[in-house]
Amino acid sequence: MNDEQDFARRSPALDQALRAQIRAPKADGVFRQQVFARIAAQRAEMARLAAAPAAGLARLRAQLVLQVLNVGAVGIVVALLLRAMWPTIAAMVPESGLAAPASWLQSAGTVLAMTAGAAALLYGLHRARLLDWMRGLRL
Amino acid sequence: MTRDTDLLALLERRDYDAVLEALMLRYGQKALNLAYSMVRDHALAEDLAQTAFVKMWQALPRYDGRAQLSSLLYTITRNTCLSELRKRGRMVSLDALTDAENDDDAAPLALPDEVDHAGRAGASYDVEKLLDALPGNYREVVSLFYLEDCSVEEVAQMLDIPLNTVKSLLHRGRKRLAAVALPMEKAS
Repeated sequence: MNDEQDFARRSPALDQALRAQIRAPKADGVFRQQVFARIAAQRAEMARLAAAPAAGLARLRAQLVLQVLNVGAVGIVVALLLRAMWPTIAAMVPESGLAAPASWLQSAGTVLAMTAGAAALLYGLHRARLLDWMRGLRL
Repeated sequence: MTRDTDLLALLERRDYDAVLEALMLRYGQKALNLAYSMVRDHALAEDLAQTAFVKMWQALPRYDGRAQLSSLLYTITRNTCLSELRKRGRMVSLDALTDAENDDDAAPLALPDEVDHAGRAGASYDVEKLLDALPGNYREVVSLFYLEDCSVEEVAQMLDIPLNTVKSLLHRGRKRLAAVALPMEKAS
């Protein structure tokens, strides 16, 4: 007597319960339709990607231009504000008794401003995840 | 000669949709049984079996005829289920299935083979609960065995493990089930 018959003989109720209760879902017509629907969706996506590589590239370029404009606009606004407020700032420095640091700042100001500006720009590009895909564009 | 030789002509004509349709008619239920035995959730099993068929469709253009189409489908289904289980933190290792043959039951069983147990007529069992008490590899084999009309050969092919390993896992799995069922039977 093999193990299968032996188990069914010794534990008929358990064997019967296992046969009756272990049930998987049915692979019916609906199942097959759903598979083909998924395949159709994949085909459509593949066709869309194959037909429009140029459109994808144009979209990336547009994003780049927008981000550069965005960063540039913020920079211009900050520069204009500083320019407008400069007389006030300059007047405040001697009054506060910070002549020596102010003079040092004045002499090093251009270099500091350029460094800070470049760091801000790089940080902005990094945050906008632009650097990687800018390289991808090979502009 | 396998039963899928008729599909080779369709493959040569690159009629992949027709091949897939035929595979779904022949092996759709088996793939679903396999997925269900691994994840034991109807909706998830359906989703994973469908994903496996989509992957199969993607693989058909690269099919070189070395393996049987059914074996390829079972492999894809198993791997799809395993990655889903891994994602969900319910890892089931296929290595554990093959190792089990040499593993002399980690937890000793309370019931010897000779004792007639879990056999009382009219006893009712919650099979889901019983299966939950089994380690994953035993559970898969026991579930698949009953889903596949009690064919150990089919189970071995679908899980890609030796026949003797299936027999051994099945024997031990059912022995464990009976041990777990005994208190349930007494309570009912």
